[in-house]
Amino acid sequence: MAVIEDVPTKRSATVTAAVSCETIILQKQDVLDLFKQYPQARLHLDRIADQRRVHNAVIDWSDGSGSLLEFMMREGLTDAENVLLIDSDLCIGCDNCETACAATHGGYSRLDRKGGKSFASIQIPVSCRHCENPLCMLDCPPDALMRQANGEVVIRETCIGCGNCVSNCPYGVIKLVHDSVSTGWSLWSLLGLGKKEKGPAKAAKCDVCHDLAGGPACVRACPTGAAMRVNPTRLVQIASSKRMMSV
Amino acid sequence: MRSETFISYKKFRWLWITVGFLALSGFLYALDSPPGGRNGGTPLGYGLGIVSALAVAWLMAYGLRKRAYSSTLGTVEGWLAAHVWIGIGLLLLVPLHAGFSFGLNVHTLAYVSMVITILSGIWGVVNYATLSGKITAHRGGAKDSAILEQIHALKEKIESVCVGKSEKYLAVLNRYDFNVTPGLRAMLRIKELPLVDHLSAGGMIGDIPESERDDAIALLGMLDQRADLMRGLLEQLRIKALLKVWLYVHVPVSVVLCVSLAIHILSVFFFW
Repeated sequence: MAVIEDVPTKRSATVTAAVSCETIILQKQDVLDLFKQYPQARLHLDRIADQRRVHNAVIDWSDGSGSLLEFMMREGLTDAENVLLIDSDLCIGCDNCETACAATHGGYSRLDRKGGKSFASIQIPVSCRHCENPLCMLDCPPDALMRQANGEVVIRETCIGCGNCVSNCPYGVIKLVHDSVSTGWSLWSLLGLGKKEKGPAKAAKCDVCHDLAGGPACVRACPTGAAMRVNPTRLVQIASSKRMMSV
Repeated sequence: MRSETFISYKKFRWLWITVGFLALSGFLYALDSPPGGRNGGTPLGYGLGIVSALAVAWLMAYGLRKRAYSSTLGTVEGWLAAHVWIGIGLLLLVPLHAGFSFGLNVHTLAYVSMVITILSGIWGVVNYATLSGKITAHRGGAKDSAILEQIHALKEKIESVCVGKSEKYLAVLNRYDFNVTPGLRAMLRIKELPLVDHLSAGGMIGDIPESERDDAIALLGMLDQRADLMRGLLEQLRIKALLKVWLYVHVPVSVVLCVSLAIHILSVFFFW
């Protein structure tokens, strides 16, 4: 806004890059010269600037979503595409979310409900947030991590369990897990009771239950509706509409 | 954060369905005047009985749905909403089925066990609604084990500043020290854990030799912090216990309900 204003005013916004990015520098005079050629564009931006001023005033007085934004920045949620949230006003601590996750993923839960940080009534369990810029995808020798069309990051069967993604993930949401494999055919194995031994380690994390028709099992199994998977921008909308207070 | 809860799920969908069905049942009941009076053996009585039995079967199926983690048959939250409102509705539907006639028999046993199951369920719903937000509110959601570690660390520090001290100094320790094992008894006596009250603690400090006073002040701070942490931990345990304890009534009595209901149905069909 400072660039388009003729008279210098107090800056009301700042930008912090949550991930590595490129920046360009615009000289104020160049922008103003450009606007002289396109007065309609200037009018359009002035209108947006007015809306932003009102929005800033609301945030200043609400003492709410501003703090939430700080929390989101601190926790890296601004880089997330799809994050698991627990509304702690509704959570009864039954751990059905973890049980559901384990039951649908070979007995190993890919979320830690009690782990992670909280802000007001929002708790962010330790679970993959499907980053916009997924560091886990770097240095994967068999290229096993892939982003799907809907933005979700999944691990394919080609994983060799090298652990690079585990080390690279800044949120500690990937673990190496040993699958149980049957040792051979027997009558018991038909009933699922056959002898099993530890299989090779493979990286495991939340896959948003992409192969389940109903969506994430953790969300669907929550009896009180406390668990939800949302895009973090939705979180800001909720906080703004509810005037969520900082803690 | 969310304004909707399982109680108000989909704008109280299951409450309105239950109220609608009860209103219809009550209307039919008011119109019904069978020879011999209203009872479970009249056509309306049988009809309401069948509906009630099916409703009980549906309520029991909640336990199965809750554990069917791959199921796409609605969400567990929706099932719980139906479980709660239909369960409460049965308190009235079953008496309408029986024509409000009760006695000392297996039929009334089925109703009584159902009432106990439902009342314990209501207790659970009230606990869910009033206590859920308090679990993580304490200490910013710190885990019990982390709080316990802090308490142990403080205890060690307290012991280290009490070595070789005077009797007056140790009197401060004895006044505010406590020995608690987290459990039911401790949960019921949370407020007995001594927090440091500044007035009497200030008086005790004056009696302590000057060379030990700084340590004594630090000691009081640590004792107060330890008591506060322990109170918080016990309060968390109390809340978690209250969120679960009702199930120890709800589930076993619901089994009694199933058995007595089965006997009720069998006896009505074969021996009435």
